[in-house]
Amino acid sequence: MALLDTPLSFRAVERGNVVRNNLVVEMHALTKIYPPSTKAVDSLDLGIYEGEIFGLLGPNGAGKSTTIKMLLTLIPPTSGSIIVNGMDPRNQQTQVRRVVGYVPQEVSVDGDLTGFENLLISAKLYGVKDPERSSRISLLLKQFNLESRANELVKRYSGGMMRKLEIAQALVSQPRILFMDEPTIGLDPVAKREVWRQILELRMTMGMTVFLSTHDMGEADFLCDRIAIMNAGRIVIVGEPGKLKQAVGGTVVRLRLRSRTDAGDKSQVVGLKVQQSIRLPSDLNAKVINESHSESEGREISIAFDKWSDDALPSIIRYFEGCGEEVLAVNASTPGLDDVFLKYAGLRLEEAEKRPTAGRRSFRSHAR
Amino acid sequence: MRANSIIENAAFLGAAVTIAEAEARKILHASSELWIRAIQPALWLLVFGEALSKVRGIVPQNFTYLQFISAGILAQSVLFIAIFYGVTLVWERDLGLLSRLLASPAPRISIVLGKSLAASIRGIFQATIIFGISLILGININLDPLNVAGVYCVVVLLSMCFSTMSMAIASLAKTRERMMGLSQVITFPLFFASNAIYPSAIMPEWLRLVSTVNPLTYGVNALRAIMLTGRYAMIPTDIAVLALYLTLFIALATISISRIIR
Ligand SMILES: Nc1ncnc2c1ncn2[C@@H]1O[C@H](COP(=O)(O)OP(=O)(O)OP(=O)(O)O)[C@@H](O)[C@H]1O
Ligand SMILES: [Mg+2]
Repeated sequence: MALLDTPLSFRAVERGNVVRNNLVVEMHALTKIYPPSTKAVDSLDLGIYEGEIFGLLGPNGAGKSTTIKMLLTLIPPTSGSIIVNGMDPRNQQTQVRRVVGYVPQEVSVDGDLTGFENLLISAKLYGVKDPERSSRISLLLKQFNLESRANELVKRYSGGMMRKLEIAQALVSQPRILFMDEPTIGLDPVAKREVWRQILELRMTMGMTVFLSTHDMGEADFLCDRIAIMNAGRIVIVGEPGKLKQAVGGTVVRLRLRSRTDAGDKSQVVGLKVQQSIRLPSDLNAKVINESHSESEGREISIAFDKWSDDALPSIIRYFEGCGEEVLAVNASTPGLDDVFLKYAGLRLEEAEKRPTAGRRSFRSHAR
Repeated sequence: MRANSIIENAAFLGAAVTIAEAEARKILHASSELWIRAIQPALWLLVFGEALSKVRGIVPQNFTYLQFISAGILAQSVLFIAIFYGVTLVWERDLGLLSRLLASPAPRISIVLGKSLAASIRGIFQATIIFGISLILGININLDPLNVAGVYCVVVLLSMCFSTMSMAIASLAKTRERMMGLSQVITFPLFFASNAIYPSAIMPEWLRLVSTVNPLTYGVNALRAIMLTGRYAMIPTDIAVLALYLTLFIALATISISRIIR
C-alpha cells in the first residue's frame, strides 16, 4: 500500500539522469511485410537513447509487436536496417540476444513449473551462475511479492501474478535493453505501480534501457521519457509525453475576477483596469488567450500555460489578488495523453479506413 | 580461436541441459502422467499380445508372440510419446513461451536437443515399465545389466529421433489441431510399416519396401536383438541408420523451430 502513497514526483527526480547522446537502438527504413502483402511495419526510422524508457503506442494492429520482434531477432525484417547495442541482429544474433530481455505480449511463463523454477531456468539460459543466480532470484521474488507462492506451480497463479513473474523473468539476466510488449496488461493499479517502480529502479541502478509498447496512457505518461505513436506501420509522432500534450494544447486555467473596489467607491479602482491588457509575470510561462467582461458575471480570463507545475494555480491566484482582484472562481483543464493519442492515431485511422487495403481491426474495438 | 569454440560448445551443451532440466522438472511435477502413459503399452501386451499368442505361425518357432512383440511395443510407445513433442512446440508457440525461449541466447539446436533429451527421459521410463510388465507376466527377455543398458541406449536414440522428427514438421502446421492430425497421420503408417508387431517375413512386398526406410524398423531390430535374439551382428547398422536419421531430423527441427514463430 505504501507504493500508492509515493508521490508522483519521485519519478521526476529519477528522470534527471538520462543523457541523450548515445543511441542503443536504431531503426532505419525498417519494413516488414508478412506474406503475401500485409505491410505491418512501413519504413520506420527511430532511435532509442541509452537509459531511456521509450513507449510505443498505437491502435491494435499498428505494428508494435512486429517492430519489437524484429529488434529481438525473432523475425527478419523485409528491408531496412537495425542496430541494437552497436550490433546488427542479422549477423550477430546471439550477441544481441545476450544483452536484451523480452516480455512478450502473450503469456510466456511455464505453467507446469513453479515460479522459482521459471526464474531458475531463465537465469541458467542467460548463463547467470550461482551464487549470483540465487541472490537475484530471491531478490526478484521478494520485489515482486511472489515469495510466498514461489514453490507453487505457475498455472495456479492469478493472471497478474503471472505477468509479474514474466517481468521478473526478463529481469533475472539484467539485460542492457528490456523489451516489453504491453507489460502491465491485467495488473491491478497497485501491481502496476510496483512494476513501474521496479523498472525505474533498474534504470537508475543499471542504466537499463526500456522499450515498451502499451495501450495504457497513464503508463506511458508516468513511465516513458519519450513516446512514439504508431499507426498502420508508420510512426506518426515522437516526443516527450509532456511536450506532446502541450502541442495538443497546454493546461488552460479559467478565472473569474472582480475588482475589490467595485463594491465601494467606483471611482477608485485599484484593480486591473478593464481595458488594460494583462501582463503576466514571465516566470509563470503563461499567456492570456481569452478575456471577457460583463457587469453581472465580472471578468473572465482564460490563461494557457506552456509549462504546468503544481504551484501554478496558487501563483496565478496570488498574482491577481496582488493586483487587487478578487478571484471568484478557478477552473483548470489539462489535456491528457489520450487526447494526443486520439489526435494522432485517430486522425490517421480515418485516413487508413478510406484506403481499401486497411484490413485491421478498428480503433473502437480496442478502446472498449 | 580454439578456446573460443570450446566455450561456444560448452554453452551450447549447457543450454541443452538447461532445457532438458526444465522438461524433467515438468515431468516430476506431473509424474502421474508417466503412469498414465504406461497404461497403453501394458494394454497392448496384456490384451493384444495375449490374444494373438494363441495364433500359431506368426513368429519364429523358438519364441512366443509376447516375447516377440515386447520390443515392438516398447518402440511403439516411445514413438507415440516422442511424436507429441511437436504438438507441445506448437502449443508453446501459441503462448509466448517459445518466443521468449527463442529470444534468449540459447542456440536453436540446444532447444531441439534439450527437448529431445526430455523425450528420452520419458522413453526410459517406458522401457522400465515394459521390463516390469515382462517380469510380472513371465515374458522371458534378456535382463542382463548390459542388455538393459543397451535397451536404454536404443530407446534414447529412438526418442530423440522421433521427437526431433515431430519438431521438424511442427512449423508446417499452423494450428495445434492440425499438428495433432499431422502427428497421427505419420504415427500410424510408421507403426504399421514396421516389424513392431509382426515380422517383416509376413509383410507383402510393398510394405516390406516401406519398412526398410522406416527408422522404427531399425529401432525394433536393435531392441529385439538386445532383448531377445542375441544376434548382435546387425546392431551397428541399425544404430548407424538411426543416427543418420537423427542428424537429419535435428537439422530440420533446428530450422523449423526458428521459422515456427514467424
Ligand atoms: N505472423 C503474422 N503473419 C501475418 N500477419 C501478421 C502476423 N503477425 C502480425 N501480422 C499483422 O501485422 C500487423 C501488425 O501486427 P502487430 O501484432 O505488430 O500489431 P500490434 O501493434 O502489436 O497490435 P496489438 O496492439 O493488437 O498487439 C497486423 O495487421 C497483423 O494482422
Ligand atoms: Mg502487439
